[in-house]
Amino acid sequence: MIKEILLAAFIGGILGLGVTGGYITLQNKNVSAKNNQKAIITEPTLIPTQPQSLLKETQNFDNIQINSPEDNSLISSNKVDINGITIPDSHVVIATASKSFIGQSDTNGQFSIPIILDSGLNIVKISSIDKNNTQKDIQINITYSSAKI
Amino acid sequence: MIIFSLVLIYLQFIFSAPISAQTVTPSTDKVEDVKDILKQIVKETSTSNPVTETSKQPKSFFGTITQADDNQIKITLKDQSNKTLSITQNTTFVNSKKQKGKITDFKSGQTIIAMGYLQEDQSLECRRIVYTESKAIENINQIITGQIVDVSQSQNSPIFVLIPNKNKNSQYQIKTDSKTEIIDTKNNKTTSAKTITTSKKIIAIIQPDTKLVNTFYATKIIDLSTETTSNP
Repeated sequence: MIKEILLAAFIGGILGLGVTGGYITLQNKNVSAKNNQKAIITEPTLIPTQPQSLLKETQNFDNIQINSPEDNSLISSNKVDINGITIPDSHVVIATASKSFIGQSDTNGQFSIPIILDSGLNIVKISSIDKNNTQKDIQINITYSSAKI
Repeated sequence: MIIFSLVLIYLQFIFSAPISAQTVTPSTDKVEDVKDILKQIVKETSTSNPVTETSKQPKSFFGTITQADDNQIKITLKDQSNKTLSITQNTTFVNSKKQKGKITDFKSGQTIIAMGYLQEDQSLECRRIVYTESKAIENINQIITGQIVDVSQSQNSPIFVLIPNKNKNSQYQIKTDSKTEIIDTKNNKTTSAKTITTSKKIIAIIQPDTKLVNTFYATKIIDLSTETTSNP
């Protein structure tokens, strides 16, 4: 009789542990499922974005700005492209001490005009004239030297 | 014994570690996109660091010497800012006779072009200093836009009066000659001086006439009158 009671108590204990263990396991499964959901939510969304510099260039611009070469640049070639941004569809005129060059800005206002430099320091005057004949001016210094620096 | 074994098997099922699937591997396209974004960020970070960038790019400054020592020269630039030039063993000098010189050839008040590399403190590590007179680098060209209000002929070349858009209270008397390049923007080619007529809107590249006061000589004229304007 005692043996049967002990066996019943043992089986009852085991079953109790089993039920408790099952409950804990279910709880853990729910928590891990929630964490997985969070991981999916926090996955970075790949939205194609424009670089900040490009955005700056394509914004409406009511002046003239030279992107390259920088002011006080020293270059080893007498040919250089003047790249910048101004009012869209403007005439862009560039004058060195000995030569002048003409170009036009595109619909975004960007321009790239090849020029030829004189030897030594060049004070380069750049003007844009838009469709309303509004003129914007800027000046940069570029030195052309073939000497090894 | 059988019951005990069954209980053990039951317990193994209950307490066994849950098997979960591996996280989803991102597709190759997404990996490439992330790489591109990272590359862009690195590129922008490197370009936004002026010290690193400027130290690699050679620079050149024109100014007037205010102080000259064995190790450094101080110059004042056209915008009245000051620049310190550090002299090293690698610095070469070109004096007023356009010959290889030394630092003692340079005095306060002289104008020079200094070439070298910018340092973190914005001083210039000089590699080459060239004596240069201000007049030698002067750019006397002016770019103006405006409307022609009067035209007269002089030796088969027109002289005209232009009112600039920037200051309608002023007038420019502008001479032309056979070397003056006149560009028709409509056809994008050069044209003759006959096209210069009153009321035309032009862009002119001019320089002061050395002989006549308040008179300019046009090296290039761009005829805008053939264009349609949004503000008639």
